[in-house]
Amino acid sequence: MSAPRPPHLPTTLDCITCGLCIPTCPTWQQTGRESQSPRGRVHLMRAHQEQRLPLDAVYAQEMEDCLVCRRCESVCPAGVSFGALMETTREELVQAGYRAKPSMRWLLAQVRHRKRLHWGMGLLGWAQRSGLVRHMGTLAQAMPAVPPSSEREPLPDFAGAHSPRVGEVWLLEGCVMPELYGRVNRAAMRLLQRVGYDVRVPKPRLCCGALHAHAGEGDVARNLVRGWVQLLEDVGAPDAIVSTSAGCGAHLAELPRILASDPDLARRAEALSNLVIDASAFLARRENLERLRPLLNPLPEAWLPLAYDDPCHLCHGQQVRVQPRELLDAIPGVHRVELLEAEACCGSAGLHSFAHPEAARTQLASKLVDLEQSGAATLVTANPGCHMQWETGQRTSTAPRPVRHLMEVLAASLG
Amino acid sequence: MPSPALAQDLRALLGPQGFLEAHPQRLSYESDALGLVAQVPEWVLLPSDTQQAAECMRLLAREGVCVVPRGAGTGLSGGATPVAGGVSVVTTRMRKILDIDPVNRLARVQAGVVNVELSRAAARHGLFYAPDPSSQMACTLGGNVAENSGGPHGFKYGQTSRHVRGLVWVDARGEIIDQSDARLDPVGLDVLGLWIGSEGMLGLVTEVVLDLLPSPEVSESMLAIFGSLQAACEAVTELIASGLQPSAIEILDKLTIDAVEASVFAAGYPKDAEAVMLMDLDGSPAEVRELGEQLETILKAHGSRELRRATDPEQRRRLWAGRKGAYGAMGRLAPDLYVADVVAPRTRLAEIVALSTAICAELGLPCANVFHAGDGNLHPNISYDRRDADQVRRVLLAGQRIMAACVERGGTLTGEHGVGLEKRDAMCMVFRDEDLAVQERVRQALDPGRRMNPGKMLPVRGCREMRTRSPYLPGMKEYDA
Ligand SMILES: Cc1cc2nc3c(=O)[nH]c(=O)nc-3n(C[C@H](O)[C@H](O)[C@H](O)COP(=O)(O)OP(=O)(O)OC[C@H]3O[C@@H](n4cnc5c(N)ncnc54)[C@H](O)[C@@H]3O)c2cc1C
Ligand code: SF4
Ligand code: SF4
Repeated sequence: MSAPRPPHLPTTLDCITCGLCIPTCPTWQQTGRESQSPRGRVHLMRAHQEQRLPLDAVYAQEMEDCLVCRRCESVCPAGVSFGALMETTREELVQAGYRAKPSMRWLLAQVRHRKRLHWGMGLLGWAQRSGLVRHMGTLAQAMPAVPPSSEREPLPDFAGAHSPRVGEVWLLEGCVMPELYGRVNRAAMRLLQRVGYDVRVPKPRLCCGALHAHAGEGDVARNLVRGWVQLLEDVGAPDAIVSTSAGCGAHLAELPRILASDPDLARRAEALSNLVIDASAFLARRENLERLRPLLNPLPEAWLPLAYDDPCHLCHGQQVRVQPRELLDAIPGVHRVELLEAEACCGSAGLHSFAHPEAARTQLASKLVDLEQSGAATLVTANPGCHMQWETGQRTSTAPRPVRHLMEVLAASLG
Repeated sequence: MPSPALAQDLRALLGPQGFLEAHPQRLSYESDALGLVAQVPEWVLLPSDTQQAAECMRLLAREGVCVVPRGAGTGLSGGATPVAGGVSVVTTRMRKILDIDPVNRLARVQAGVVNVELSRAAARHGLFYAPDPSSQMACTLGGNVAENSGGPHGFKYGQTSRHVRGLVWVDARGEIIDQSDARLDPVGLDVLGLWIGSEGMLGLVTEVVLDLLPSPEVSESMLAIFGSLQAACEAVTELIASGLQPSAIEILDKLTIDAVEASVFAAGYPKDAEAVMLMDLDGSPAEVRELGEQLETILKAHGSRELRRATDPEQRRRLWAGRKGAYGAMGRLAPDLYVADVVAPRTRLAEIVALSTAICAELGLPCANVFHAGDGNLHPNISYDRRDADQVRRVLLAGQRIMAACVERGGTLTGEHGVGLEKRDAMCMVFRDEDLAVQERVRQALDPGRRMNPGKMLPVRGCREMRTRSPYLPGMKEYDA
């Protein structure tokens, strides 16, 4: 038997090579290639650990193509922590000099600086409105429409609960979220206030580091976590730290693992991780839902039926599947339909859709067919990346449907 | 080593997505789900249809390269591992369902279609594809044909061989043989019969025509809890003798129950139970009701202390969760999992389960038994760590001893996972050299160059010779004349 190991350290040895994960993997579906499947990737990671496989460009590419959607984790009977393995692998690759494309590195550098990002987005918005964007790089052209600056205001530091007050939460603002979907954060804030929570958005507004961890920039991610731990200890713990972004939530809920090399910090981060919760899971807690339910009103008829598409890092990363549906079903007179493959990745996958636009489009194509066949009039998501990707899909669709975040839908129903 | 000219021709034929030469890409094909044996293929070829597959095989024949067919690589006997060198020809880019004919209830699929995909597509017509290996979410229909796979519902519906109506395959020379017209199925020599279960030694299947069945009106699951494994097995013997036909009869032993209940797959099986029996009942409402009553009488008479029944899909799923999770639960105990696949006479199930557990205990290995009781197909699951050479030796020995014990008591080597590499030499437990020579001649007739999946299934040395070299297989005594 293998020696006991710290619970947070991922290992390739968990894989019993059964292959059950293979057909669920989006990159395998596109290529049919074992080394583009979860089992194949773990196999190569293990071969590398066993010093049978040196790092090379092909290995790096097979790893880089992974969407880190973590759907393989949901079907794995042996409990392989695939996402964690991939982060470790990519970090090793980055250290060995196999770095992401310069444009991706640039993007990563922007997202963790709120000010820079804000300026950058302002500039991009201007280029979009003036038509100048047509002369810019592919990356700029791939970006969704930037909302006017009035919608890109940061959240207030504090918003008080409607009575009766039941507690205090922090709201995670995110990085891209306030720039592109500030309305989602404001919707979440309003919902939390209405069910009785003081909402605090503590300063400094830190990036969670999820994108950096996925891209193998472990040091950047760990530094950001240090900031978060310090912030929590300085300000004092709220009842919950609520996230409207599945990617940030999943990442922050797993901090002890990311910090395994620094046990002291890992221990302190555990308190933070335990508090992090997706907004849907938080609002669907029994006591919260009871307070929310009577506040909800019917939605405009034209929005219905709704279809909810599971963001990967919510269903596979946090096992949150029923709560968003419960919330939608709590809206009076709602009509909700299921997508055929709601748990399949839409192709957004963090920065993947920017790094691999072609693969991302192929990935989205089958989701668009599912949406079409479902007959839904509104697509509901719960993550900014998915939101962007679905909107991109609607731009080229013959029958475009609005894409809305779960929080927007619920807030609209507040009246 | 095949020549660079051949590589160039294959590359031109298949393109960079269909012809893999880079080391990491080939390395991922070095073994199937049996991690114990590994050999990196020279190249990996992924054709996209019959024509392209035939063209590949013609090119490979030019230089006499050995070919190992491969589907999803979920095989548990090393069948898709290129032990004798050569290239892997993989069907995972041949995933089209070509036709579903709801009137004649037939499906035509490419060999790389995943088993469960066919069931999903058939469901839209109120039909289903019956063989349901526990790996059905990943394994290919071509692989199922090659292994004659079964599954929990094989008791009522039979294994793959009962559902194959036609095949298209490519032989080692690159000839396409089309036996896919379902009307011809019973006419002439039963070539399909020869093909099914041939483990990639007769060629590469590229298309399969399969029977579909109308979905049952009602399905019910039933869980019976027993205080003794013996009693559960006796109940199975009696219900089979009385001609009752649930569609599945699965038994989990105490160790499996413990492993499952301690894991994330906990299904609420009582911890003090010595065995649980899980059944599915299919048919019209009246049939299912009647069968349910008959089963209940027998199960109670044999001391089942509790019966749980469910028709709601979610509740059924929960009853089956433990059975489905047994593999994963055992897999979490150690890095690797060995799954044996013996068949025991149905009257001696309890005895052989006890024996396998004892054999493993003697070798210091944990062993949990799950079995398709209806078919007498036992799966002792042994968790181990392949990095520990001595553990590997003991696992293999345990596998051999369990097979020998089964054979001695009137059972056989494999129920559904195939002989492959792992049980190749054990063929001598059940066949004499003379019997195996017939199989070898059939193979020679269809593949004179012996280039298809060499080194599998048929022992490479004579049984007599092997027995004098390693007389470690007790089950063989009686065959040594
Ligand atoms: C978790 C788990 C559960 C399982 N449960 C069951 C079960 O309940 N019942 C059961 O029967 N099996 C079971 N198996 C074993 C395995 O899934 C089956 O043997 C399956 O049929 C193999 O299909 P594959 O596509 O993975 O084939 P592979 O493993 O790729 O190949 C298996 C053999 O078939 C040959 N082959 C594959 N494709 C072709 C082709 N197109 N033409 C010619 N030869 C070909 C290969 O050369 C090899 O010898 C299980 C395996 C696992 C890992
Ligand atoms: S994370 Fe997603 S893309 Fe990556 S191996 Fe798993 S299923 Fe495939
Ligand atoms: S499902 Fe899990 S154990 Fe099985 S091959 Fe995939 S990662 Fe490995």
